[in-house]
Amino acid sequence: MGPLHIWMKMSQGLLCLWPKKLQGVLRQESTMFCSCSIGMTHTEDRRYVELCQDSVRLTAESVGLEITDEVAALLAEDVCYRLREITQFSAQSLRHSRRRRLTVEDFNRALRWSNVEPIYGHGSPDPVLFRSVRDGDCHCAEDREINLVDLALATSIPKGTAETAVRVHVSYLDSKGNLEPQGTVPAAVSMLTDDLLKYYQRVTRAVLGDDLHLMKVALQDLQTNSKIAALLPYFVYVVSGVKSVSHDLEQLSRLLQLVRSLLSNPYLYLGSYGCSLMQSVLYCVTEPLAASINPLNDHWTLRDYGAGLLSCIWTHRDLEGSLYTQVLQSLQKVLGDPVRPLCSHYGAVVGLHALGWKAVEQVLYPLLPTYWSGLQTVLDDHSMSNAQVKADGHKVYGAILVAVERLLKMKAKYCEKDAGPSPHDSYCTLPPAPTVSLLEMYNELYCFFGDSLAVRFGTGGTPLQPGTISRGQQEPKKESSVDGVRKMPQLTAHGEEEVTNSGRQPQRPPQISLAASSSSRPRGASQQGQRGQGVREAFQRSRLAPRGSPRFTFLIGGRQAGRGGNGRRFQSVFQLHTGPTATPSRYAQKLPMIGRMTKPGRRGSQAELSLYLPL
Amino acid sequence: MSYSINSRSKMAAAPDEASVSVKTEPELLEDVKQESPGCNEHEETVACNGVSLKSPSTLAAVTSQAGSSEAPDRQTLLAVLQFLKKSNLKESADVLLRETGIVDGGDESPEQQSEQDGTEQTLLSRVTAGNSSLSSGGGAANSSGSSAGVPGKAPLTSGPQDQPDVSAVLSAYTQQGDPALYEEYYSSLKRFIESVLDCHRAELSQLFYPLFVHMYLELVYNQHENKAKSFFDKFHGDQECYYEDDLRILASLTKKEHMKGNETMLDFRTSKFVLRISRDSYQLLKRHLQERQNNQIWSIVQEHLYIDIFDGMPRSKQQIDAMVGSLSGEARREANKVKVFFGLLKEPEIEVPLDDEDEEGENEEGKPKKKKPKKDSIGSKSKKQDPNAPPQNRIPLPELKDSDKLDKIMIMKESAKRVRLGPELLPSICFYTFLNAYQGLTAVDITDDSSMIAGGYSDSTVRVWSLTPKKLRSVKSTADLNLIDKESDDVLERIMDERTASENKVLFGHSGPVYATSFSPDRNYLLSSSEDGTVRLWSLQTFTCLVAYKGHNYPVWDAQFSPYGYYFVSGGHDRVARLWATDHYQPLRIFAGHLADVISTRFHPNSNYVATGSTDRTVRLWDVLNGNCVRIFTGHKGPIHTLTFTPNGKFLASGSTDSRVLLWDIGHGLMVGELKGHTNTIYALKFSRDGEILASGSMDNTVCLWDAVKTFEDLETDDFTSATGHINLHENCQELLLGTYLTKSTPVIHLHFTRRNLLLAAGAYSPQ
Repeated sequence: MGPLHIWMKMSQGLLCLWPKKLQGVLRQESTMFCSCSIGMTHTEDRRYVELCQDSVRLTAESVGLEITDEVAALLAEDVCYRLREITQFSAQSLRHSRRRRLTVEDFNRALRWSNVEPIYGHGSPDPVLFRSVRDGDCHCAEDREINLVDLALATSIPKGTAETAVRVHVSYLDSKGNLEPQGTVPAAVSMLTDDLLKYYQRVTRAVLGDDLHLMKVALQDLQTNSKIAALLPYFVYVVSGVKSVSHDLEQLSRLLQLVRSLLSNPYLYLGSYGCSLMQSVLYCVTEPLAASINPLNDHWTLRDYGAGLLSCIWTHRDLEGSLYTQVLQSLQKVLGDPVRPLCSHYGAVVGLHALGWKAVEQVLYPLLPTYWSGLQTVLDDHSMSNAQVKADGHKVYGAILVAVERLLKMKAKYCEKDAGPSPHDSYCTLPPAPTVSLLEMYNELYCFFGDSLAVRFGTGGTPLQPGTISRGQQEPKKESSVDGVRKMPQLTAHGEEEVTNSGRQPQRPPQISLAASSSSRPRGASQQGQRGQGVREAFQRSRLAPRGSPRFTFLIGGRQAGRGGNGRRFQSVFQLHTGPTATPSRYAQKLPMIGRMTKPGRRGSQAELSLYLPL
Repeated sequence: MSYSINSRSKMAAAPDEASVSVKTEPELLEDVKQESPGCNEHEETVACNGVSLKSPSTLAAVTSQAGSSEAPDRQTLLAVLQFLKKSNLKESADVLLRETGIVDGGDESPEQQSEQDGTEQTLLSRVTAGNSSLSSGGGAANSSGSSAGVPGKAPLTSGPQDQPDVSAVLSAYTQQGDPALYEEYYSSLKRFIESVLDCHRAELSQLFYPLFVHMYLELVYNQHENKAKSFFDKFHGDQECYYEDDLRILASLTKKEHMKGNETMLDFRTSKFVLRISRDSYQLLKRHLQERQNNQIWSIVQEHLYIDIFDGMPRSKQQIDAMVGSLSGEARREANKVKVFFGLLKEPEIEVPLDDEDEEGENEEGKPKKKKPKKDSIGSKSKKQDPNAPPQNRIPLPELKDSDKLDKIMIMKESAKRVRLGPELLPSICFYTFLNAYQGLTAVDITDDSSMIAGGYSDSTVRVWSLTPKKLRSVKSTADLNLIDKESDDVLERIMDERTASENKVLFGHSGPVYATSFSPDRNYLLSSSEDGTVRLWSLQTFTCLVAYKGHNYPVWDAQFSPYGYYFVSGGHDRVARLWATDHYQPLRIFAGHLADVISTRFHPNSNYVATGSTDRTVRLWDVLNGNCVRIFTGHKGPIHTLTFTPNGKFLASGSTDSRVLLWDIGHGLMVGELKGHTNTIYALKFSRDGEILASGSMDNTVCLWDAVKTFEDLETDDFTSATGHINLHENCQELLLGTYLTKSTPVIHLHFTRRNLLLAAGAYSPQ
């Protein structure tokens, strides 16, 4: 058996055993082959792969061969030489494929040319990750386990690769064009061609100008114009001017609208500009703007709008969610900073809300206990001097309430899904883990918000698009509670005046005892045949639910409801286990009397607008 | 002759109209071949010995290879002699020797003779190696046209590995010198060269690299591995940086067994490294070596180097550096002395129908004066016979069809509207980006009229797009074609199947990455060459494969149609370029001589010559008529990936992995320019339609525009320069760079000037 013959047999094993080394060599060789001008700077031992004879012997043993040291040494040398030779062939293949990066395919091709069986199993365009095996000086390719079930049931189905196409992308007219390197914000606008410059000036003037109609036309064009790619850095630059106009709400909101137009233009590739846009928007959302000093300014709306944009940015197709963590971190920082004014906190909360319920769970929920105490003091201070701050505090409170409500709803929905298509039957068999945590979460949140949370918390039979159901049905069951005075949304469903701290405590035990009998629950539920009963018990203290009714329908929205049917109706048909350990909360004593505090006046109406977020 | 029958039989699938129009072609080419007197004799001798060279291509290889250096018949004879000797047919050899009257070493210096031996041996190894594969391929093609051989499967290294003449070649190294003294020999020579006058030092320094390689190989061959390693470590740093690729291969070669399979080293051994040294310097060296009795080095110089001695001033370091760098040193001066007919062929007289509407339209615009002289200049260009042009019928060309004439008229009309480019008026550039090319785009071509673009992919597909709003349609099926009214005026429109209309078509057939695509000038056919060893001809009427030309058996790196159609050239890993006609399944010519893969091929505008670029870092120009190599251009320091001729046929531009574009004067056989500006491999080159601007596209994501007029204008090709081949290049090529244009992280792999001089570039978006 000649050395080459043995080598052919062993190549498979050898190449698998030292991929780390091999890859290093491949990379090295390919770079060396691609550039001809580099000097002889590499040290000798780093230039080629060297295999020791032990490795050869090991490999031989693994394929069932006993070889002597002498043979092993000879083989090692020969294998090294063959590897180098093949690497040189693969570099040639690389050059002819007009690529920069050597791929596994190139190496396999060289193997095929040399009449050696290729190595199967690697073919990804991404670089292969290597990790070291703990015992032994060995490296192997990262081979993650993929849960096929998760993959198959994943809701986000990856889109197939788009069709190969030929498009005109860069054009230089008479060899003139935008030669700006990508990714930098230009210092001066004068470097554009005349046409683009004119367009840029017109559009910026229109957007920031007085003519509303013109502004709409300009924004519309920005959304659809396919030829403004060269202007993107300039617009980004304009948007980054938010800091200089923080006193002017109107200008700020126009700039944000400009951002929205840019985001929705399908012809623009945001790339590195996405980050810059995100920072500008984040500034509007979380910074204490100069405009917010005057309580007459409705900076809340601006923050809400900005929060919406944040969610647009991080889900934008060009950025692929790369900014998500960045946004999340900055929001967390803002929320965790007690020195910041309440309007900043408000921005952070609506921002988190816009990022989705997971963000709320991840950031807001853990921060809530600490944050709550600060908010509590603000809300409890009834002095006149504190009136403004307190009003702001209520805004924050409302925003948090909306956020956690969504969180609970989504969580509950998640649990439901988890439970499968027939939730009644599955109760007895598998009490899903998330349910418990949901319950705990609910318990804890309930301690903060009390019944205001409970009544808002409706899911179950209703699909989670309140807009669709609420419009048509305008039959609030608890109109009595919705009078003209109560305008803050978080208060509207509060009908029972007698809800007090003292009143709650004694009521808890029976409910817990009811819920605690979790083993008998399903049976009881089936006996009753009324889903609603069982369901309602999940809301531990929701005394608003009519006892006999299987469904609980109510409306949120102070003036909205009064205007005739714009309110939202929630149906509280919700299947939920009541955990055996519904511990009394340590926050129970702190529960604020929010249900009774009504703030008549202008601010209330604004709040309602600004909080009218899609759930 | 057996091969004439082979080559004359036509492929059933070959396109009809082409075969009809050029039916005199094969005879003519074969007649030329028969002119060489030795030919018949070879046939007889070889045949009576029971070994037949089956394929005509092997003979073509013989003639062409020989023609590259010496008179063809003599070289051929020597090759046959060698073959006979090898087959132990000493008597036949003696008879042949007597009859032809060749006396070894009669009028030639011994070193030249031994050089020829070396050439013969390589040659023979090629012929024998090629013969087996070719005959199997030919046989298969004869029988059914099915698969020829097993392309891509044969091991690369097995070719020359177990052949006796290879070991014979290597055994030249068996001479024993004291291995311990090698380092001493080399360093003493080094000391000597460093001590000589400056003017000689540069010239003599050329010796370092070939001596280094040969001494190292000798050490390895004689199994002094440790000595070889220390020798390499000690002196490899002295070598010029442009030899680094070769040195890397050399460094990995540490055993005698390795040498047998290593083609690069085999080439180094079998071909003499050519040095060009002035007489004074040579005398100096000779005296030194003889005084010191440095026999080891002297014998290497005598056996493995070819020193081309010239009279006159020694060359400067810059002059030398510009010309060296190839695998085999410089080209010999006499290799570039053959006359080349680089002029353009006379355009056929086509009566341009005076379309009055067009004229009037121009007149209305108020520019009747400008129109007239322009037309005259175009007319006179085609009427006057270029003194450097080849005879009109030097090689047979297809007759013009009516549709071709219409196309010519279109070209003339378009050229009247052409933008006159210059340093002040640069072309507009339009970049076609191939999006979502996950398969890996490897080749692009655009039709002359810029109506279609074809991409070759690593996943073996070829995709054709229409660049105009007109969609691509196939011809109807035969049954449907019978139904249409053949007398109607719009019959050409009626035969198209509207249901098949689409923006792009995918052509499946190859079984390996497609490395080149080329449209025929009449836009009816598309060529593609692939790693699977075949060149395929596709019909753009039916979007099906018509022929698979098999012969290379190894990856085919490039293929290109002749500007007159019908012929095409391909070059591949088997180190030869082949000339084919679309209606012949076997090549008409095999251009052999490159020492490594032929990776780029290009037809001269007059279709009489073919330029090839290779991994051996040389550009060669071949005569289509007789298969001879008529020019060897050295100077590149890396594989040459792209070539292009100026529209007037006088100059050639070549782009390489060394990021430089070199310009060559074909008539004088000289380098006339070096364009530096790119930072990565140049994959595309194109002259504007009038030759004022050279566009180059590179892997570094840029398109550069160069002032071609200025480059060629200040040439001082005096007699001395053309006689000695010494060149002085412009120092500041930055003046010639008119502009650099960035793409969006897209390597530029094809460039094309439309008939009105709009520059089209193409490449696949590849994020870093």
